[in-house]
Amino acid sequence: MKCQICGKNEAVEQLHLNINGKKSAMMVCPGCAKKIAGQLFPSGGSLYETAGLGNLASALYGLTGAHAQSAGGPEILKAVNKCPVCGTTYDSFAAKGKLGCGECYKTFHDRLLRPLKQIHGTYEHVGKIPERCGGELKNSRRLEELKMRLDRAVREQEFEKAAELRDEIKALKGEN
Amino acid sequence: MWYYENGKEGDVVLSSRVRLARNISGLPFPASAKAKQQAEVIEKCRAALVGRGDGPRAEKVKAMGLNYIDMANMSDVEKRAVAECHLISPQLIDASVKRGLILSADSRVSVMVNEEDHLRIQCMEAGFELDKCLETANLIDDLAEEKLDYAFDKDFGYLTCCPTNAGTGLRASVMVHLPGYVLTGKFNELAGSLSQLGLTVRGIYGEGSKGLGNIFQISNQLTLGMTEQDIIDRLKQIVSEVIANERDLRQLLLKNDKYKTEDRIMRSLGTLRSAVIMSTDEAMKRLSDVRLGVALGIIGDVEPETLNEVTYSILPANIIKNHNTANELSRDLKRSEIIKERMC
Repeated sequence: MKCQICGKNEAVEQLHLNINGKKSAMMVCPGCAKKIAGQLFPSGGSLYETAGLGNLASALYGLTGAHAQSAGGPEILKAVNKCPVCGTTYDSFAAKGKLGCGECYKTFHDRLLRPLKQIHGTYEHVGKIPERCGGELKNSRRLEELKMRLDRAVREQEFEKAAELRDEIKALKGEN
Repeated sequence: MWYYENGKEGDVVLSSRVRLARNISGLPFPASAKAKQQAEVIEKCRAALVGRGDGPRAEKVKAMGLNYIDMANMSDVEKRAVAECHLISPQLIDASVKRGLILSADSRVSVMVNEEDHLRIQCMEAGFELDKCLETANLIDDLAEEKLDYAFDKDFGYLTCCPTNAGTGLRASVMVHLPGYVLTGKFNELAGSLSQLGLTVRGIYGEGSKGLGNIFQISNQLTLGMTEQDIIDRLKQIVSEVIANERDLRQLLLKNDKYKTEDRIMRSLGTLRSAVIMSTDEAMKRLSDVRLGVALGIIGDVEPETLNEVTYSILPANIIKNHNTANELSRDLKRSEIIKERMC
């Protein structure tokens, strides 16, 4: 079945709508679901400022949070989808605050960005990278760091240092 | 036991702990996994950590004497006794999921298998030793990763059951004795400030045990967006401040109310040495006073190590496990006996 919004992509998620009290459902593609989820979550302050975390699972993760209801436009109750590996639905995650498996992070990727930002202030991991499965990532992080240092060295006219960094970057790229 | 030792800054910090949450890629987290998958996780973790001798890391870890313990073979009391000593979390007691424990010979390393996440690597030390804890935790983590494919995402980091642990999966905590803050009425202010700094302060046994023996756990709240070392350094910096303030507040107590403070401390020591029936709550309260007295030099004939040992030996499940007591009264009688035996 094609997405009922864009009509192009394959629909995989079901959206439940409530427009002026009239309830309906439509099938949408991940792209359109993402757009709608984005509209539901305008940027707002951290929930940490007002309450403890324990009982906040649904406030943090629920699609029917205060932002959604106060948005003014059509109220979208929930976008249902299921993790293909463990079967966890977004609804059950929103209620309990617990995901079912690593794949859930991919399945619900876009909807997790905002709550993660509310919890941690960011959704960017800068810590440890596993040695075996993180080899490539480690290299790309190192490359970014070297490039930044190279820019700085050039700006500060430290050409000897810049040459060393350039060689190091070349060597690292060569390894890849 | 390591937790009897009086470590660095031992007058305020009882112990330090670092915990790393890890999951195996392709398998559901414990609560969502089928029994067969839970058993598979246990087998994989066991093979990755216990009895290996292949390579320098494995050799180092081998020297720690890691042993696998099937939680199903432990009685409820045994499990609760281990939880009272903070070697496992209360969640590991619940038998609805197949759970395992990998414990080092000296109990400084405790890897909980199938707790909320597949692996919860915990490393503990007496006193203020967060760097050492992180170093050991990283060693165990790296060894496990040689054999296990971790659930990891380049943006979200290590993937955990609860997104509040995602990223580094690191929870670092220190257990601190804060009678100065409590007795001068400054504790709530401290808890508020710590929370604003992104730290959590809880009672010795979590939420419900607020204030038991004036012992609290201070830990990081955020796990994503900072490196492991940054998290540890920040916690260290703030706790160092707390330690200094706690010492000042203790001196203030003595300065402002010398006789009342001394009386409180000596009265508690007298009660501990003489009472016949002693509840856990009263014992923890009196032990806190005595601990304060030892730190202030008012009590000279009780060693900090003795206080640590007594603190853990008198907890309910430990008494039941070691002395097979039948009811609360027999436990309270036994508790006062243990205290007298060690402290007189």
